[in-house]
Amino acid sequence: MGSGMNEQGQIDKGKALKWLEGDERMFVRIKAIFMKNVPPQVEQLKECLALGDTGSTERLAHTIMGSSAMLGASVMSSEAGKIELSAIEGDMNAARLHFTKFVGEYEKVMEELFVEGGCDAYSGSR
Amino acid sequence: MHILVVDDEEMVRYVLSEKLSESGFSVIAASGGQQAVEFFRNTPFDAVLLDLKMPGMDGIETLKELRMLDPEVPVIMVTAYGDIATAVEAIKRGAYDFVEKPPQISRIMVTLRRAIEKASLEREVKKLGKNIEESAVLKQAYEKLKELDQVKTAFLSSVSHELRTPLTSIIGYAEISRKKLLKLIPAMSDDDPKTTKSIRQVEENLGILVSESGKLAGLIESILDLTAMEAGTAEWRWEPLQLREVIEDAAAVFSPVFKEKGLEFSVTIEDDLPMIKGDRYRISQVINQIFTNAAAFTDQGGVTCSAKRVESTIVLSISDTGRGILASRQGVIFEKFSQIGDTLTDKPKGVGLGLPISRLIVEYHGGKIGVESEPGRGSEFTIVLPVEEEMGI
Repeated sequence: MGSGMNEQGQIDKGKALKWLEGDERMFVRIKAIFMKNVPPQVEQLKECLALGDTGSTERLAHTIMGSSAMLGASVMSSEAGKIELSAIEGDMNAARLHFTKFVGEYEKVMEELFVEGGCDAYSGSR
Repeated sequence: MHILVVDDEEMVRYVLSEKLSESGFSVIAASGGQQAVEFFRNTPFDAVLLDLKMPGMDGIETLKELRMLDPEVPVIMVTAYGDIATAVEAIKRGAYDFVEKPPQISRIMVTLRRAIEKASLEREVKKLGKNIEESAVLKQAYEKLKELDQVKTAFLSSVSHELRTPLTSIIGYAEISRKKLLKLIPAMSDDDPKTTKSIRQVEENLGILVSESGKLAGLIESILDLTAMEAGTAEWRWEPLQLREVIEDAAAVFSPVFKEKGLEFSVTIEDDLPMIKGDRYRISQVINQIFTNAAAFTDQGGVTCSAKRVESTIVLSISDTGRGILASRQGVIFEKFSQIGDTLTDKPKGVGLGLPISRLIVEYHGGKIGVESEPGRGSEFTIVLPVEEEMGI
């Protein structure tokens, strides 16, 4: 994806750099942190949804929402937010439905990161 | 400045730690509430950036714990995405402010600096409040002391007045009796020497009675004088004064006293000494007091008096070659009831009102009085009075 990451891609680098005060080095570092932390969180979220654990679902969705927002992955962040809101309302069916859409967005983001960074660590979450 | 960053998101901890460190803060990051409380127990922090939503101990619980450990440290909540209601709840529970995620570094910096400044000001205000409280207690104690001092002054004044009236009668009758006896003595027959001797003895005793009563009357006058000056009820007669005249009058009175003691006495007054504005009687009271002390405590050598203009003041110096004043007493001789006494043995003599009254008089004239002395070598009293155009009375 290369520089397309900024405008057409899932990750709005410009947005991320805005609050990072243009610090490219820091952006590279947060991408690495995202790739290290978010996949296991998504796995956990999937398990919590299966178990109907509203509290953990809410918390994990919130964390993922925050991390993706910081990365500039707005659509993924927004989908994670919907899961959180459903969990807060105790509607786990709605949360599961949102999760399906969320995973699609998440995979796009990870693919973009993988291509951008030449990273082979990503193995998907499905 | 030590900042504690508390967030379960590694990304937030990393970014905030990096950016705050770049701005000169010293940062410690905790990944949860429990760890934050542990850090907080062991390290003093100037501010805390606290995530609201965390697993385990959440932001509100952590805030409560931190507040218990230090109710003054400012805590800024870091919250995300429509969680404003909880952030407001945190503020109600003592958080300073909240910032939204993703955390805008510039906004965090501003909020952080304001929070630290506010906390610092609050500490200052609290300290100041404590000082004001202490000042109020001191003021109250001072007022009480002032009140007691006024009561004492009024009491002294009242007693002195009551003593003065009968004492005047005692002196008067003793004086009359003595004079009558003095008239009787020459007319008495030499045939009865025993009676004559007894009458002479009575006359001498009456003389002592008059003399001692006179000293007592002088003391009462001094007390009345002092109490009136302190109470602001003393009468002052202000007039342009030629200090030369006042000095010469006092010198004329004391010259025979010094001569009788075998002391040399010299007066040097600068020509064209400017006028002062003052109370002639009071100024002469001061000079007489110092001459009296010089006469009382100088057994050999002499007394010198000089007056000259120094800038906008007249400096009057009276030196003697007397016993001097012990260093331990030099600082207190102008205080009430602090006698010069036997200045070599430090044994009190007299009641010690002459110099305090002199100080009050000089100060009332806008001047200063001081002493330099060396035991065994003598003393020099210096009176500095402003010249008339400087006084503004």
